Amino acid sequence: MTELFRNAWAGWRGFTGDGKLVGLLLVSLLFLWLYYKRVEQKRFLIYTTVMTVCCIVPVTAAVLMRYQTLFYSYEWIWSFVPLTSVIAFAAAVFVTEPLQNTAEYGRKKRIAAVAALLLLFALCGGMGSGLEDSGQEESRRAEAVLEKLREKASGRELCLWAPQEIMAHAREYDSALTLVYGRNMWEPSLNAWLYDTYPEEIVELYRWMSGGEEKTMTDLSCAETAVAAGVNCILLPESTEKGTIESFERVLGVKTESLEGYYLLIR
Amino acid sequence: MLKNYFFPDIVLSIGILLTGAAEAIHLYGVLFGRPLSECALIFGAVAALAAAVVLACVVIRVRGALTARRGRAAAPREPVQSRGRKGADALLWAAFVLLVLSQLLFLVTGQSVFCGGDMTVETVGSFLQSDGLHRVNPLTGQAYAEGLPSRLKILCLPTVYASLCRIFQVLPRVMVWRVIPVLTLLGCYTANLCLGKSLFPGSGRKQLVFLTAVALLIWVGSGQYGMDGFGLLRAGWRGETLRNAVLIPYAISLCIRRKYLHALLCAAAEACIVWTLYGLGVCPVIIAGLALTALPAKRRPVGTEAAG
Repeated sequence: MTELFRNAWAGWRGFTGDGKLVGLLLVSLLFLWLYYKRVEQKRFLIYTTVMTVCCIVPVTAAVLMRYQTLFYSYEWIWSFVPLTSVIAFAAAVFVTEPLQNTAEYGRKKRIAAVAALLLLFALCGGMGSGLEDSGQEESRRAEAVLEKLREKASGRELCLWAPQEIMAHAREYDSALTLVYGRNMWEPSLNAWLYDTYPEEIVELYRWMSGGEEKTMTDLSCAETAVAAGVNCILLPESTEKGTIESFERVLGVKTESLEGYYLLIR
Repeated sequence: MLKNYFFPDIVLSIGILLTGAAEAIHLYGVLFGRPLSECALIFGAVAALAAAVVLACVVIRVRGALTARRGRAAAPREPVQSRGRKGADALLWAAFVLLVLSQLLFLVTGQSVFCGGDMTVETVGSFLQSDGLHRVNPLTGQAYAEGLPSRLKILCLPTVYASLCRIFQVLPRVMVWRVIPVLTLLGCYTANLCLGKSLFPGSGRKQLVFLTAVALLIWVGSGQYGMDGFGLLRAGWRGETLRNAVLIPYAISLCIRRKYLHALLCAAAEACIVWTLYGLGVCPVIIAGLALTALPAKRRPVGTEAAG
């Protein structure tokens, strides 16, 4: 339970760090409560206020996190609060009620108030940050490689082993390809969707291809393990040493070809 | 019985009923090991029927609106709105349409999809490739060694997307990353239209401001993980996005109108598309919460809270 509290607190800090929409929600609720008598749907306001408090207070947040299953992170308990709807509700009340009904407000003042509201919205959203290209360039590069690979395969069934940037997009691009391991090897959150796990030698293959210091397999045993696992198509990065390539050629019994910045071995 | 129902209610209710039908077809495919092509055929027939009903409703609605317009033209003229008020309404409409169009354009270009922790495209691809439901591990394309959790196995969205890919001969990544998010966004605005009508009954201008603010907030939240805008503009195919952006606003709208039984349909739809705890999810909590807030109001004389 302590762990759950800690997660709830850390989640709140992380959630409010990226953007200020929660701040805008609190301002909206404050405005609606101050303007309570003129608010038509008080039940909606009461429900939203109670749930907002529940999402902020660590004890109730922890209960909500357990309710929504531990599969989901802290951010998702905010689904209980109709954040967009309540801010829009407050904005609609603000723009149409106090501004319209106050006689001393001139046209210019009303326009200035709406402009201030728009600016507040824009500032709360982090000014478009987070919308930048999220791996699309890598995806496009992988697509180009996989397109060429499909041409080379000329209808054969392929079981591919390649660097992570290719493996990550291979099944998105072509579901006829089979892979020696999938995205869940380096993206553990995906393991929630499957019971399948990988044997140690397949994990070793991943470590070898990632090129980190953790790899323990020799080039030769690595190639043999890959072939034993059913791999018939290997892409090696351009930086692969000549001796390694020769080991792979010997085990697979084929010559390497160059393919879009990779060495291709296909049999 | 049909009091306090709006035209968008028909569209959303048919969408929810279609989800129920899709779930039944999916379970038929999974439990009896039927091929995807057969499931797609049945789903296609049901979806075509649903589309025909929606189309018929649209035609009836348009004809009714035209008749009412003719009637208004013949009747004595109502007081004309002031020029300033008309101009403000036109400006609001323009802002709303511009915001929605920019979002649709953003989705169609598919420039910023967020796939972290998601494997829908691979799952749909594996359904199409193996012509069956959950027959191979979507991440590797090889046969399952251990399988997958049964609560996930019964979620119907991958079957719906795969069926649509099969019917329209579209690639999974095009259907999942570009077409479905567009439909989700339109569903979101339909649900918020219902919510606007429930929150501000009889006030068209307030409803328009509400919708424009929602459109603006979708852009504002698009950079922050967990926000409606983020889900709609970067992961519109996910069950959580459909729930948060379509089912929840619609359920709230129904609860405000005290149509709790109808709102329970949203909870049922959520159980078909999102991994929830033993069938419970966010919608039941919201429905229960709003029903509880209605209890003290019941003690007061009727009419003290407008439509709420």
